Amino acid sequence: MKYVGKEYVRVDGVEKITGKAKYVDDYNFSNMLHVSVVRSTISHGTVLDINTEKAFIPGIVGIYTGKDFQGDNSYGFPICDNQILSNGVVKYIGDAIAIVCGENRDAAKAAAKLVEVQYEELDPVFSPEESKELASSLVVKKNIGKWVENEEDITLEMELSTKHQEHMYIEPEGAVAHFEGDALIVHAPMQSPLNAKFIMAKVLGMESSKVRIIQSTVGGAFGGKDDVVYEACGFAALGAYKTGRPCKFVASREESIISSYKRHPASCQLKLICDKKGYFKSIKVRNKLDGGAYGSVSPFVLYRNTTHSAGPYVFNEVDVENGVYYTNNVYSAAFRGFGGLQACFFYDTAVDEMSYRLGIDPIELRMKNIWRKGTTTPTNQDVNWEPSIEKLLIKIKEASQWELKRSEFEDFNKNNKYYKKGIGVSLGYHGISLGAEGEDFAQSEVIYDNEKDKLIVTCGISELGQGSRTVYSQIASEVLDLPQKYIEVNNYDTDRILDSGPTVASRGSTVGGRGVQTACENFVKFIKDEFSKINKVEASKVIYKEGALYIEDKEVIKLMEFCKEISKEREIKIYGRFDMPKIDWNEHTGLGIPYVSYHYGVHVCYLTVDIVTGMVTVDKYFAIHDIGKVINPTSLKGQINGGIATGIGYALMEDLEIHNGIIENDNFDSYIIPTSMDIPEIYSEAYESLEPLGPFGAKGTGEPVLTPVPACIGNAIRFAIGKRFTDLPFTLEKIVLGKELSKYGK
Amino acid sequence: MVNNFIKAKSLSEALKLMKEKESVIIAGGTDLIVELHQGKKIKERIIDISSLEELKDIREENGYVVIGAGCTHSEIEKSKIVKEKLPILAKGCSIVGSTTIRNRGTIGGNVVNSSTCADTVPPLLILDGKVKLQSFQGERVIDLKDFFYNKGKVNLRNDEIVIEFLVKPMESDYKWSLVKVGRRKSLSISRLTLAIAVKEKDGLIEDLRICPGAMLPRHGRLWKTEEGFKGKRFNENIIEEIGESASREAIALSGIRWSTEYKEPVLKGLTIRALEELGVQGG
Amino acid sequence: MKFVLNGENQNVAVDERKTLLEFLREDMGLTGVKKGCEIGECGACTILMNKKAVNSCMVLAGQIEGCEIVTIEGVSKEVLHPLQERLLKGGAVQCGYCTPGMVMAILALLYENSNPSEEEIRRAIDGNLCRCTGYNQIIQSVKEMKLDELEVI
Repeated sequence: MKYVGKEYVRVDGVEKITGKAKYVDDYNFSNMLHVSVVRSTISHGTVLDINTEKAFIPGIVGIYTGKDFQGDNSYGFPICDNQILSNGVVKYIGDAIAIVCGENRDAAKAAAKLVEVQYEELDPVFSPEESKELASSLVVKKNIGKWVENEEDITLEMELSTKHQEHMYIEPEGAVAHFEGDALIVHAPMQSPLNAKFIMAKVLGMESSKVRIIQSTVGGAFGGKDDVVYEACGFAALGAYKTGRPCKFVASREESIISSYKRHPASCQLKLICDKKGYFKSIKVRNKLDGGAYGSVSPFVLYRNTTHSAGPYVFNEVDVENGVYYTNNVYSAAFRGFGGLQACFFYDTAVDEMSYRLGIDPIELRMKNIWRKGTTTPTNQDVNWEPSIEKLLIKIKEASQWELKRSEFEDFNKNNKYYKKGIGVSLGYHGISLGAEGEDFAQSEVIYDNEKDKLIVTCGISELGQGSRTVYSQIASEVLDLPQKYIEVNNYDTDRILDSGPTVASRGSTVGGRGVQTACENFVKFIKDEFSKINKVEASKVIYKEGALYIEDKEVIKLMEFCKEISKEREIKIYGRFDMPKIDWNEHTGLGIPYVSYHYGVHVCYLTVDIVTGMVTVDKYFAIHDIGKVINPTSLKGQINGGIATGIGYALMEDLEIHNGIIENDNFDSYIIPTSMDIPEIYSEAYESLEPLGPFGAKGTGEPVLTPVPACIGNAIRFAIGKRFTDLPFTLEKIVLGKELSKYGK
Repeated sequence: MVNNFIKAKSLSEALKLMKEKESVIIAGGTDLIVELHQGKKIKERIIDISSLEELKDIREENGYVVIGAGCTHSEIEKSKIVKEKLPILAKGCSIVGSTTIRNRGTIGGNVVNSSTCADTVPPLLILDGKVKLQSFQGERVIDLKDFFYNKGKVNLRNDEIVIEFLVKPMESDYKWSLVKVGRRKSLSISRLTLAIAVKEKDGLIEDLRICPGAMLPRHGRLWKTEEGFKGKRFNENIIEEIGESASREAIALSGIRWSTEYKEPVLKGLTIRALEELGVQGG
Repeated sequence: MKFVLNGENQNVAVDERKTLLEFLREDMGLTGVKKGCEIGECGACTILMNKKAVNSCMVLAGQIEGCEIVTIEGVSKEVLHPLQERLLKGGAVQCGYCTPGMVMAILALLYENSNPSEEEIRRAIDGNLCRCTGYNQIIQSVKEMKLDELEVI
């Protein structure tokens, strides 16, 4: 390959490294107003009255509520129960009630504090146990009761839990909206601009053709710039609609942490049974997820969580019953890992603990039970492909010097009073793309731009920093056999893009990439056909390569010149579409094919536990992933390193303190994420299994690199100090005291 | 937010301005500006002393190392004199916040703000540091241990500025240790800090200095424990006893809080480990 | 108030009560300086003040009188600075939001120490948070700078 798998400069790199890239807060229009949001201070209640009298201080132009929307103000998919501004009920602290538009930010902020809201408080609930309202429930029921017990079987029962995680993208969310005539234009860093377009049209009662969303440079998303940004667009758009002036809303960090959605906290009861040789027989999982105030994508999160609850292992019996519950905590929605991360923490902690019960090496135990060709998955999917899991485990055993380090650390621990070394392994996997969540397709176009003399390649998947625009450019370069300078992958502008579904589920490379590949292949075919027609040459004699058209071995014309010629007569716009194969999954039994293909990853880490203080230092980290095909090596490494860093944060230090619905740690000083000093050397390797579905064999990477991390760290701590911790995060207090220490004395 | 603002061009100008009317001082700003962001209203005039060269000197004088209060943590951490003569303070400054914070935050600000978690205070107390305060009227020098009152209040009048710290180097036969416990390895608010120095001679504890950080409502050393073990002979159990005593004394001073369950064993463990690691074994 | 900004002398009216971050972004139009937390804990707003890396959200505008301020906009004009080239090639940029602050923090280090070790580089950015890259490629990129590139600074 010429471009795929090779170094290829980031297409958006120069603007970012020079500070010229425009993020939402960098957009300013003349006559622009600033929007501040009045938010609920109670967890549950009805809004009896909103008194804005005192709030009309100098500089305030307008104050608006849910009643000011022309259309139905609700949004959310697949559960549409959230509102941009409250329709009279508030369900969590931070729920938006009104917007204030002011000449400057300080005035808008001050005025928002002067809006007086009267509530009638209703009883709130703060945990799935207290809640009786399910947002969604799913099962996997395979061969229930149809296996033979033996008295020598080992049964392991565990209760585990994970907490909320906050995305902490360094750029806070926001939106800038203005009207040009009767057309609304919104700039915002959302993951799915087409969704924003339809929601804005709906809530403002406008024709969707009059709404144009232009994605600003996204300063990190990790799943977190979906719903919350549609809401931001709604604030800005409503302000623009009512005042006739451009309006900008950008959340403060505190506001972002308090009001934006989080990763679903989950509690798990798990029972794992295997025979004395270590072959798994049965797994029983009961997960309860806290969905918070609104439904959002909870059913999809539950889908991934449930279908992944038993791991990439083989069982006789699989009994899973999971549910997402409504509570009056901040709502939970998409976060890199999307339910699969929680599932991995649960199953792989249990599997690891089982290895201790059996006295078998943790990697050996996994080897005995992983998917192989000819086995069936926990959802009864026939494994008719060769999963790379065994290869990955063998590779990481070698790369991490697994056996040597185990005995080395054991010796170290015997002779060391205060510091204990640990080595742990985890196995994660990720069903590719949406599965049963919905129509799974991508559309792309290759358009010749006469003015720029370039080929514009579009795709509906967004650039969030993960490098999708660069990957598409590389794919285009490869298929079109053209260097980067002739190709432009455009910014996401709803006027110029075709729906390709949401930028989620790590589907950008696979599904989006195939869409781009298809459009480019169609383009090449079109060019050859046109050339053959125009030059009256047999199609078989036409060759296209290295950016030029040949008749047999004689070069006739460069591609770009040829395009220029044709474009005098007609527009050159070639379409391509890719549809993921339809899956076949039964939502009542949870059996069938929930995903057509999977990404696997194995992690190993070394760490040191200071048993006096409870501080954990991750000393080295290894990750080997079957990513199908490496398209951009540097980007891949970046995704792996970043995912591991986020996982280390979630495992060791990210502790969202939410009590009675109040979030206490509302900025970077108290909700802490890893610094450069907290991340060790990371060894990563890509295994290329060449996935038939993906472009040139590529599978997605974004989530699977994060999913195995917490389990890996927990497993290493278990090795180090002989204690099993089942609840994230593994804080100082937990390690020293063996339990969570909270000022609320839980 | 704030009313008016003057960037002082000299120390005497600053002192004169402070005498005129009630003012708030800003140096590094790393504490004050956070408070402003969190909604604090400052009606008084703000006087910026961050550029005063008079407060940025580090020199040796009469057996003391004199450190201008306006020195940033970075400057102190990198100062040859401090690294050589007051290494425990150099380390203390090096563990404040992060590089960007150390480039602005000053030792004067850290001490005056007197947060429970102030990272420079335990080293300064271990070193029996003194502080010079100056007002338009005159100056005074007091022991740092008399500078700190309860709950972050300090022995500083409205019209006074902290000018410099006078710190005598520990004699070469002192061994010291400074450990900060945090939830991550930078930008970390201390969960618990332990500064400890010990001088052993002929198997006896000639001097013992213990100062916990992020634990006491009033900055100070654990004097009872220090007195209790001075002159004692080192034996097998003594280190364990020192740890136990330090922990008990600290809790008596701080009272039982929700975090005591964690801090009690950790303070004890850190004390014991520090003494063991310093090679203070016994005669 | 007089100060030097990106190499040019300035004499402008300043609202001393604003933070330097707001002053640079709003009054001087330098939107390359990013806002992430406003309490000095994320480093996105890092600029150089008299060649030292500081959080501009932790400086009041009135404090910069007589000082030399450099932002990301002052690092390169038509051609990228060698540090920027290296960071780009090395995968140090993903979403790019922490990037301007990172560049400034690293430049400050290189002013003081033209041949830093990996540890020194890692520590120089210990106040610049990144959620995308996991830091290692940033550090590696700087480590790989050749001596002749470093001399350009």
